[in-house]
Formats: sequence, structure tokens, C-alpha cells
Amino acid sequence: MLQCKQLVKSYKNHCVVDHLDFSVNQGEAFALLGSNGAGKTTTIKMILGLIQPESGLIQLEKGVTIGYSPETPYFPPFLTGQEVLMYYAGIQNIAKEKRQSEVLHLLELVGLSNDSVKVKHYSKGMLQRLALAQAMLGNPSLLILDEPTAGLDALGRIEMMNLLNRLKEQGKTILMNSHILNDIERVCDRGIIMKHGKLVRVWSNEELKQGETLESLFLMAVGGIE
Amino acid sequence: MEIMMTAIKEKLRRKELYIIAGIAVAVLMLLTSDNSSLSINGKIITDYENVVVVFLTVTHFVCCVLAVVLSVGTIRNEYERKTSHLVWIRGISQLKYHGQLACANVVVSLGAQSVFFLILSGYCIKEGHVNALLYLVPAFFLMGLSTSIISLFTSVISIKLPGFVTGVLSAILLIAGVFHSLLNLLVQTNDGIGQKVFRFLLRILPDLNENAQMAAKVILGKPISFHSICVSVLTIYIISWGIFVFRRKEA
Amino acid sequence: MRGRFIYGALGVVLTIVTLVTGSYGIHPDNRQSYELALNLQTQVDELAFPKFRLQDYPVRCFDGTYDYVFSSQDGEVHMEKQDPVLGIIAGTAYEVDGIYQVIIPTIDKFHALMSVMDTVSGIQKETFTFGEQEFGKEEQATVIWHEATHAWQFTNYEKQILNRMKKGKADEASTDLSREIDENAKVVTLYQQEMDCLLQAVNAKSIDAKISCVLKYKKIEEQRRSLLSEEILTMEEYYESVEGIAYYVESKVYEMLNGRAAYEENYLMPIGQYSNGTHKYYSMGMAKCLLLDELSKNWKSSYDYSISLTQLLYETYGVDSFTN
Repeated sequence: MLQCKQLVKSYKNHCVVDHLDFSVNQGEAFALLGSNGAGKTTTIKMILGLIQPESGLIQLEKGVTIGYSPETPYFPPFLTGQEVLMYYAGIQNIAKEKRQSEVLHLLELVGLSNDSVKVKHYSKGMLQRLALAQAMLGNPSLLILDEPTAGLDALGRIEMMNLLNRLKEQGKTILMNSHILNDIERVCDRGIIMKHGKLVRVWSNEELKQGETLESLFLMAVGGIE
Repeated sequence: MEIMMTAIKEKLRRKELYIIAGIAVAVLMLLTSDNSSLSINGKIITDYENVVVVFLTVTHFVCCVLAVVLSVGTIRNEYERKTSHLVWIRGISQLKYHGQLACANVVVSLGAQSVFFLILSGYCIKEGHVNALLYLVPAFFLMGLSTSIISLFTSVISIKLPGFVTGVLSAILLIAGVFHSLLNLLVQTNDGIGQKVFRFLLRILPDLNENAQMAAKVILGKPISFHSICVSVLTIYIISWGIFVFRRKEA
Repeated sequence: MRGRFIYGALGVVLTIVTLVTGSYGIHPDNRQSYELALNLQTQVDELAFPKFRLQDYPVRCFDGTYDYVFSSQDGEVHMEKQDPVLGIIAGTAYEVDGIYQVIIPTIDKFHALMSVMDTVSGIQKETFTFGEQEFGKEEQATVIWHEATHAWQFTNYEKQILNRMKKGKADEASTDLSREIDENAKVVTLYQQEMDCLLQAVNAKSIDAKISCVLKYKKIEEQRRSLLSEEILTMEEYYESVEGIAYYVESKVYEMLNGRAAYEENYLMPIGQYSNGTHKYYSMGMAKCLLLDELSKNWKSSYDYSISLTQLLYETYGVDSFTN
């Protein structure tokens, strides 16, 4: 579904993504792992077209629609959650007759109520849920989630991971990154570990089933324990 | 239209707009109330015609300043807060995105201007010139040409330039436009290299004062120049091409 | 793409409409004001200035970019666009290719200048003063005649005028007028008294009454002269004779166009009003011209600027030998 070939991106002579190669198959949940500054968010932004790679290729299958949930979501503070979703639904040209029902369904799905609380009063967790809801507008086939559980409490994280698993079962492809390795283990099938912009390790659930932990793979890849 | 309507909604729900407009209205009413003295050639005057001219002159300047204040941060904030990401990924072109935000700025600026015209309409009724209310509508649109020029220019250059630079350039356009006649005269009563530079600048910068004068003439039943209206509309058109031309490389 | 094409076409239409509705070159009012001024030649001839013909002095209207030069030959008015001679807004007579020409701004430039001058000079604490003067074709015609008078003066009497200036070192005194006169309360008081005398003289019905006022004026004037330097006095005499006579012509043209009542209000009544700067000399010079006219208009044929207008007044009214 998605292929990235030899992606390179630099900022002020500092290479943040260095000849990155990976692919994401349809229906799988794929993780980008790495410590801070590894280039995960930059990679995601290049896939979304928000920034341009200096070189390399990003190939997306025809007909793939993308939903994106940013790491630090910011929504117009004087709108309510429902108004925010209606706004993005309108931009996306979702049919007017379907908009209201879809918005209400998504709000329920992510555990937000449809009352008149303005976004400026939302907690970090509520913002994260709203971000996921807007990412799912229009039923996209590829969900790209940047730190989807950031700011959620333990219960919220469990609910989020359960939701992502349900979406995967429905056939959605998920590309996500997270610092919380437990969450990644619960949802993702495959992934890569990045360090200083380079791909240092590819991992899969098969390895984890054979007794490895994601934590140990991660530490071996980025340095620490041998 | 979603982007434009949401931007307008957000601006209307922000308290800053009302505080700024309230201060401006208070200043304006102070200038034109019975407590201030207006005089022509030493004689204190309160007659209708001259108060209208004074009111419109000050309103013109204040509304142009408000246009800068209301427009300078809109597009820049979208990129600083990264709300632009969620728009870009939905396949909305920069032309549509920036264009709608710029339109929102113009609409809100004209909305602020309408507050002043409401005050003026109250004054006209108080002075018994009820028939002048009909002329307030075309006068509003004539003065709105200046407000639109300033707002649109500020919006367009804010696509690429940082906030401070945008504010400074917009302020230069505002001052050169509102005080165009005075600056023109000052330039032409002096000589030197500086004069040539300023003269060139004044030739390319629009004379916004002309719009305020036309608004006053309409209310007072005097003839106006169709050519001046065309010049302002053409200026708006030329500035609007900046939305086509100025692009951001990255969100 | 189609949208951009339509938008581009809209721009072309807008540009065409703007160009078509614009006026280029100089506004016709300026030509009309020159023609109006020319048409007054016969009446101005009655003022008896020798060989003073407007058509001898081309009029250059500066619009901020170019000079539009009006001239008259065989009864036909010609206009030619030229590069500006001065390139600044000014009302003056200036020698161009050996001929003194009148240089003035266009009507709208002049109007805007006067409005700005009224506003700037009239701003006071807590009040706003706005200029209300309407400057149109007729006002432009009076200015044309004023500056044409200067052109005539410098064409025929330049040597005498400059000699008087040099003799009194008046060019060195030009910046001291404000300090020595306007800021000197005693001098201002004497001036006001002189101006009252001149106004009374102008309004007096009989020659005897006028002589009496002139005599009274002389006494006050001599007191004032003792308080001022030679340079200042020469400068004042220059303004009175050169500008005063031009102002006199301007006022007469104004009367021809606007009638006696407007003339009295705008030119005669201000004779008695003191003002800072040089404008008082315009009024006083004009008043002296009017007084000289009462006895005979022929003074213009013989006056060659070698003496002051005041001296000519005293000689003509026979009060020259009277001392304080």
C-alpha cells in the first residue's frame, strides 16, 4: 500500500532522515520506533506531503485515502468538538446529509460527548481523542497516527488500543509511532526502529512470539544493553 | 467556504476583537462628541456636514488600522499552530486555503467598519437627516475598498513573511495610502534624491484617502469619480494575485 | 485552470475600464483658467501698467510630474507638455530660455496645498481646524495674473529691484523678519496702528481725509522705522513694492471675476489685520497702490522700483516734507 524508498531530508545541514527504506502492507499495523530526534515525525510528514523530501520516493497505491492524527493536535479553541468535526467533514466534502450522523458516531466511538464544551476547555486526552476522530472522518483506508496515546490515562490507552485493533480487524491499515512500547506490541504487526534518521532494525510480531520483547529489541537497536 | 466561515466564527468568538473595536469606537465618539471642539478658521462648528467629514476621516484611519490588526496573524497562526496540517492532508490547495482565510479577514474587517457606520447612522437620525441613511450603504462600500485593500494586502504578504515584517509593511501601505495627498504635497514641495524615491513610491502605492473622500461625498450628495472606484477595485485585484503566486513549500 | 483564465480575463477587463475612465494629461479646468485670465486683458489694461500683457509670459502648470505650458498666439491658446523646470510645487515667475514664465501648480494641487496649509497651521490644542477654501478656475486665474505681474516686474525692472536689495543688504536679512518683527511686541503694535491708518485711508471718502490718514500713517511709520535695521526695512520695502503690486493686480482681477462685495471681504477688510510673516506686506502694498490710484493711475508708468512704494505714496500725497 505504501512504499518509501531512499528517503532523505535535512534541516540546516543536519540529516534527519537518511536513506530510509520501508513499506507498509494493506491491512497491517506498522510502527515507527526510535528515540527523540530519530526522524519518525519527519518521515510521517513526508508521507503526508506536508514537507518535501530532498530525494527518494514515496509511493502510495491508487485510491488510498489517508487520515492523520498529529502528535500535538491543535483545533480552533472557540469551537466545540462537534463543530470541529463538522468543519473538517465540510472541508473533506463529506455529503451534508451524512455529516451529522458520521460526526456523532465518531464522537461516540472515541468516547467524547457531543455537548457544547469548547475545545479550549479540553484536556490533552480529549484533544487526542478528537484528533483520532477527525482522522477517521470519511473512513480512510490508511490511518497515520503520531503518538495516538500521548496524554491518555491508563484506561484511555487501553480503550485506544482496543479501538485500533478493531479498526485493523475492519481492514484498515495503520501507520503509527509511539514511545510506549507496550502499546505498540499490543497493536502493531511490524515496524522499524530508527536511530539518527537511519533504519537500524526491522522487527515483526513473529520475533516477539519467539520470546523476544520489543523493549530488548529496541534497546539493542538504539544502544544500551547488548 | 468552510475554512472562511470557521475563521470568521473564530474571530467573532475572540474577545480581542470586541476590546479593540470598543476602544476604537470610544476614541471616535470622544472626537465627535459635544465635549470636543471642532472649528473651521477659528469658529467652532457642529454642523452636520463637517461632523460627517471628520467622522469619516477618523473612521477611515481607524478601520484601516483595525484591518491590519485583524489580518496580520490569521494565516501565520494557522502554520504556527499546525492547524494547516489537517487542511493540507485533505487535499485542499493552498490557493483555496489562503484565499478563504484572506476572505475571512476582509469580511471581519468590514464587519468592524460596519460598527462605525452604525454609529454614524445614529448621528444622522439624531440630526434629522434620515434620508442620508440610504447613502450610508454605498458610502460603506466605498470606504470598504480601503479596508479591503489593507486587509487583503496584509493577508497576502503574511503567507510568506514573518509577523513583524508583515505588520511593518502593512503600516507603510496604510500611512502612505491614508495620507497620500499630504505626502504627495510634501514630496513635491521639496527637492533632492529622496524626493524622487518617495515620488516613485507614492505613484505605485494606492491613494486610500480618495475612498474616504468619496464616501463623504456620497453621504453629502456630491458627485464621485468612477475612475477612482476602478483604481481601488483594480488594486484589490492585483493584490489578490499574491494568493496565486505566494506559496509555502512546507506546511 | 479554467478558473484562472476567467480570473485573468476579469483583470484585463478591469484594467481596460480603469484606463478608459481615467483622465490623462492636465485637467481641462487649467486650460480654461488660463483662457479666463487672458480674456481679462482688456480690463487689466485699465489698471494702466505699461506694456503688461499676459500673453507675453507663458504659464507653466506643474501637475507633479510635468509642466503643461500654456501660451497664446494670434488669439489661439496652445498647450505643450514639457519636463518640469522647477519640479516642485511653487507659484512664481522664473526665467526659462531668456523669458520670464509663470510657474504654478495645477488647480487640484493648489487646492490640496491650501487645504493642508489651513489644517497644519490651524491645529490647536483640543480643537481641529480644517481648511475650507475652494480653489477653482477663477482663483487660478487670479494667481496667474499675480505671478504674471512678477514676470512683468522682473522683465522690465529686474536691475532696479536687485540693486535696491543689494543696497540694503536685504538678502542677508531674509531670515530675521520673524525675530525682529513678529516677536517684537512694540513693533507689532506700531504695525497694527499703521494698518488701521491704511484701512481708514482706503475707506475714506475725500482726498483730504485720505491725506490726513497718510500723514498719521507716516508718523507711526517713522517711529517703527527707528526700531528696525536697514536690512529689515529694505526687505519690507521689497515685499511691499514687488508683492504688494502683484497682490494689487490679483485683487483687481478677483474683483472683476467675483464682484465688489467679495473683493471687499477678501482683500480690503484684511488690510487692517496684522499677520505674522510676509503676507501683511502684500496687503499694505496693495493698500498703497489703491491710495496712489485715487490721485492718478499714471503712477504705474513712472514707478521704476528705485524707491519704495511708501516713499512714492508720501511724494504723491505731498506729505513727504512733513516730519514727526
